Amino acid sequence: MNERWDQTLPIESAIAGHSDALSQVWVGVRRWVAVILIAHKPREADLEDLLQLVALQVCRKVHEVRDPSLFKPWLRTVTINIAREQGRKASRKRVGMLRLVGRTRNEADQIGNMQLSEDAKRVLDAALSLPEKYREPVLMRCQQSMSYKQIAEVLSLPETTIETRIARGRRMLRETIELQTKQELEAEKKQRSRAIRVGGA
Amino acid sequence: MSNDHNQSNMSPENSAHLRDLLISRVIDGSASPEDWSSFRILAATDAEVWTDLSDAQREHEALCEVMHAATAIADGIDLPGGSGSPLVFESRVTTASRWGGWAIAAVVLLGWFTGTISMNPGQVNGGASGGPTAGLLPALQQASPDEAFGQYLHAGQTSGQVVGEMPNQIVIETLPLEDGTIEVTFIRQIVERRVLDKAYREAVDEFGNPIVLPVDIQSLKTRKSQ
Repeated sequence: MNERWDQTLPIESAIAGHSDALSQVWVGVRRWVAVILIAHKPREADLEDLLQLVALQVCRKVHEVRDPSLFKPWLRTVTINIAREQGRKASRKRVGMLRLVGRTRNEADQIGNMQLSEDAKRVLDAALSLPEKYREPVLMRCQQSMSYKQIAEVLSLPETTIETRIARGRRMLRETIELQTKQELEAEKKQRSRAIRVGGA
Repeated sequence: MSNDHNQSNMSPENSAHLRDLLISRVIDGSASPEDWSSFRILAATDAEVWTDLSDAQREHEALCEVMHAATAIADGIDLPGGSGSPLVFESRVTTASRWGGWAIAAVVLLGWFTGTISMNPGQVNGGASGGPTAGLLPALQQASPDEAFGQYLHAGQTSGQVVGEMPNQIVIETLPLEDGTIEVTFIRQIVERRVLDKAYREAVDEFGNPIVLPVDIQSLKTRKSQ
């Protein structure tokens, strides 16, 4: 993602109702919409379903955006609302359906249709456990290296605030993972000493 | 960031903030020569900063990899268009939700899908378009689940109890398996119709407990009177 990427999006034409322009804008923003959904949706909610809902809402409401410069913050708000409201509903329904057939869903192992390795799961879990104001910029920074400026534009915050939040968020991520690793090692150690004691007895 | 920053004169809070920023800038490849100088000064008194930098770098890369793969799903989501345009969809939903009463809503939904409902049990069996004939039907106990399901649809439609199967199945979980196959858990929806002489509706009592109440069928308008 580069600076030109933003400037070439025909946001004004999209708001004016040109469907080709709207499609072009959507293609340009849908990946960061996915990042915002991941940052705010309940674990069990399906990312693809939520993306479709955001796409639908963009079609229905984009004409209400008054100023093209407000398009990105507007889209972020729409996305967060869908992630929270629809995500909760969808995940409740899905969990209920799975319970009906005697199954449970472990979304922590899965994101979209992707199976995650233990390491990837650990990093993602830690990132998703960050406080909201750090979580979103840290995840966005991973998205094709969105610049601080682009992230600041979406979050309607100064660039310096974004830089501080990313730096602090990364430290918190490191500390969370360190703590998890320490706890796992301790649990393993305890289990081993218990096994030795049982074997000795 | 100035090289002149004297770490020892800084408050612990500012010092931690500077440390976070320097590590973050190095990870992003945006550290200036001055930032690098500050980093070296910091590392001279705090060797752990190198370990933290390497951990942070590794975690950032792992997270980028996960996020890149996860958000790739977005590339397959286009804006709705054509006959399934959002406006058409919206008007359908609004029309359906404007009706009060579950009975009318059910009729609306049935009408919505008329013509697309699979009315031919032969299709379910994967058999010929004429559908299975009674003599060729395997005994229920020996039938495969699909064959048994086809028999149920056929018998239900003959008696009028089964209207048909909804064309869309609701996928509730997909799980890629180790052998390269994929396990899909989904709901098949069957539309049935019954003629009842008693009916009940769900309600809530004054304490908020769910209860069922009998419906006064005589007070409902019959189809003829409508």
